[in-house]
Amino acid sequence: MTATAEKHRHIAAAALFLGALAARQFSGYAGADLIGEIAVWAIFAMSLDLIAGYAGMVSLGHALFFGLAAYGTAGLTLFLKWPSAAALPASILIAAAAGLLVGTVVVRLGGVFFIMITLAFGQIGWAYFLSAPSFGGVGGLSGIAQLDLGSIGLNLVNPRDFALFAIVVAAIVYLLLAGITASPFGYMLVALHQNENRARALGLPVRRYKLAAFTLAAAFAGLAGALQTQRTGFVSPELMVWTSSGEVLIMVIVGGLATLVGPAAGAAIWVVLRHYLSSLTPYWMLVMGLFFVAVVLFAGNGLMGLIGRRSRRPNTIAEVSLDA
Amino acid sequence: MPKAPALEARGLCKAFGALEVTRDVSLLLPRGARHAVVGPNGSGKTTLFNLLAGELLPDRGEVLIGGRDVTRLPPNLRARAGLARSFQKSNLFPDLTVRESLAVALTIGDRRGGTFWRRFDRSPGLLAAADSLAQRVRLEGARDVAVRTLPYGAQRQLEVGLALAIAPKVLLLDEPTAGMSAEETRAMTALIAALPRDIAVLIVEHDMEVVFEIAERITVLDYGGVLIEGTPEEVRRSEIVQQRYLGGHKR
Amino acid sequence: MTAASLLLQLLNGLQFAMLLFLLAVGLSVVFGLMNFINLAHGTLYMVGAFVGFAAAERTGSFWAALAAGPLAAAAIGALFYAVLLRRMQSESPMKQVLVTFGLIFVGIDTVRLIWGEYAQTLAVPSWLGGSVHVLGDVYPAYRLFIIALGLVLALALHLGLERTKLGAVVRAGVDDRVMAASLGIDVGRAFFAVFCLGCALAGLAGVVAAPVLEIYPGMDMAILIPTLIVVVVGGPGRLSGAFFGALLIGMAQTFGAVLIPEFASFMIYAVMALVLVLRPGGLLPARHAA
Repeated sequence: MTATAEKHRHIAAAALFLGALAARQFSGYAGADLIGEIAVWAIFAMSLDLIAGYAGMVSLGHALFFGLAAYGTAGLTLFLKWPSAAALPASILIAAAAGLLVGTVVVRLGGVFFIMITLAFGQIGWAYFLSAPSFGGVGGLSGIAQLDLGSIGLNLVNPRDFALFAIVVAAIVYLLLAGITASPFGYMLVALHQNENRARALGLPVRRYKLAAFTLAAAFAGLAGALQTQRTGFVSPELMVWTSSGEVLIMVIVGGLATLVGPAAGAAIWVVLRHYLSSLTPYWMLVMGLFFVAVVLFAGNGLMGLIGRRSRRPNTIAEVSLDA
Repeated sequence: MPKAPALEARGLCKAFGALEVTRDVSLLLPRGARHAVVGPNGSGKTTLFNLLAGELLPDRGEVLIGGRDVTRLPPNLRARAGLARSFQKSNLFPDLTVRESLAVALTIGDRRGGTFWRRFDRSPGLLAAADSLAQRVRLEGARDVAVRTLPYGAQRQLEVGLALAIAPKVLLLDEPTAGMSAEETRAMTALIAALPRDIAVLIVEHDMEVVFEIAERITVLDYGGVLIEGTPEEVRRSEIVQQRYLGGHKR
Repeated sequence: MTAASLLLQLLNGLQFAMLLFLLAVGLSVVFGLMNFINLAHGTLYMVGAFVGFAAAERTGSFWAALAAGPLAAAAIGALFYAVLLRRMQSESPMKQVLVTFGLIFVGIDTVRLIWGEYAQTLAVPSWLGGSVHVLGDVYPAYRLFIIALGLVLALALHLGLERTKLGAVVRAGVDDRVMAASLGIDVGRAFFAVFCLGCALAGLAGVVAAPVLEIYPGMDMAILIPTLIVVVVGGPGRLSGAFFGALLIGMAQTFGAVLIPEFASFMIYAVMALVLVLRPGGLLPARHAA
């Protein structure tokens, strides 16, 4: 199998992560906080890339799992008094379970309908937590305890320590997802993306594979969501609102579908951009929308398409198959 | 105890509204058969093919693979039961290489797609098997070429290759030489002639030269029903066929 | 539940269903013709409401609102079509859909920019005010107006599809776009007309709904979700699908809110999940251009 494009991506990923570490080294608290946020969104974006880029399932509701895990952590630690060390993995499982449940419904659909219904499911999560008094409603919940990493000398309340932790977690997630996408399972996803009909005619149980991918992506999104609670100590319905799902999709498309490192870089680009945009104008969503439209129209290959060799993996959204 | 035939169709009937497209068609392919289905346009070849492949469900009749009733099974489960088909319009993985496509098909056939802890290209024996399959369909020189850029004839060869990859008992070929030049047709015919003898091959074809070269039995369809079935000689000499197709094909 | 309150909830459900229908029919038929879903459809609803509100403020007339809303929505739709959509015909439907998603962001902030963050109200016009006696209870006349409007428009659209030349072109185009084009039918113009009509209906729904629901930035997504569910559940591509899908979802939402208020929001999702599991193509068979 050709390794050139793959090798380049791994080199880019290494550069990205080393760059993040270096940036953290030289930042103050504010800079480190931003880096920590980037790391969380990078994990979130890479999880979406698995289904949107590799399997061709473009979800507009991926933030549902991000938010569910965050609320899971909040609920388990604040209401059930679980220790963080137990609550965090449990929240990932909660997100995965939700992925499985939602997935069984949505993988029956393809293309445009999949987009529509994932959008709908994302909103239901948001609507529920918005009006759920026990979860704090629109204000959400705060005071979520951080995981105690004193044993390895890290205090997650300190943004610089959190950034280090998050970067390492993101790197591990990258390695895991890189392994999965290079495995036979990963190739099955790519195959059903490129020609679902043929894969099925050869005997692949397509729906099962889509569901597995969707659940896995939900789990990794949950990891990002759980990590988010460790960064900020609070949760709110905004975590799973449709704009969050839109933002993470922008990161994936800007970075380059089906590249993993692209979405991670896209996260860095977008988080920084949003940070500066929102300090300039309250109408940053307008800019974001125009940016999104421009990227979709003119740079469907994303960043990795612009700077890298054209990989033979489908990495433009034009190649995403539409048939159900 | 006689072995069950590789493929059997019993009394297949299919109508679209008032139009009977397939009338009481029966076929029997023993192991290793080389069977062709021919007939003019509109004789129901495509519908019959789709009934066998599982794209359509018959109104009446059964389809059996290796003695097992697969009539109600959708295409992916028929593939699992040992039936592979090629597509008339090349239905490939456009952005994979030839080698990757074959490897993917092999993996699907072996049901190893669930492995997520090992690299795809380090699956034991996979690349070797893909290469040998590429050789069988005469694409060994194009192993690393992206499917999207393959010339038409090569794509048709890969079509057959993908179907072969799942080690079927029955191989259905849908007009494999459609749109091919004389040279490409010769290459495809040689490819089909060299297919493993333990696979039963059913080929729907227009090109009678190809048919007479490969087929050991021929079913001639006419208005959805079987006009005659027999060896190539029997079909050629048959008065019914001569009557129906005045002028016929060369030789 | 008493017979009277049952009837009232039925009417409420029907009223909501008619709103959903006005929105869903545009989305659904456009999909049947062009294989494309405009996710910014809710934005047009919102724009219709805000523009209608502005027109009513200026002129004091509800009629002005009823005219201005759909016109504004249709105008924006026409602009979008001319500038973007027409040029994207050759792109994949996925790209087109994602572009409309991006436009949702643009729409919501533009509305905020012009009208601010807060909710506005559009008063029910006096000639539609008051209530009507229904089975011993009273029911707002305005809501009956919405029901009547929806039913009339449904009938008009149905007749339009069946009896007019444009309708014939649309039906041919939905069945087989390529064939229709090759027969020399000017499919492009039909697309444009249908698309703008769909946008106008969305804008009209916005104005009509305004006195009942609030006008606020964010109302776009609130109505888009049930609309998308209606399209998927009813079976995309056909008017009857939009109509019966809207009825189902409208009733489910209304009765859900009354019978099990804590889980009201889940109700339509449960209905959708059930329909998709039992009939993956939607209630009525989906139709889309070949």
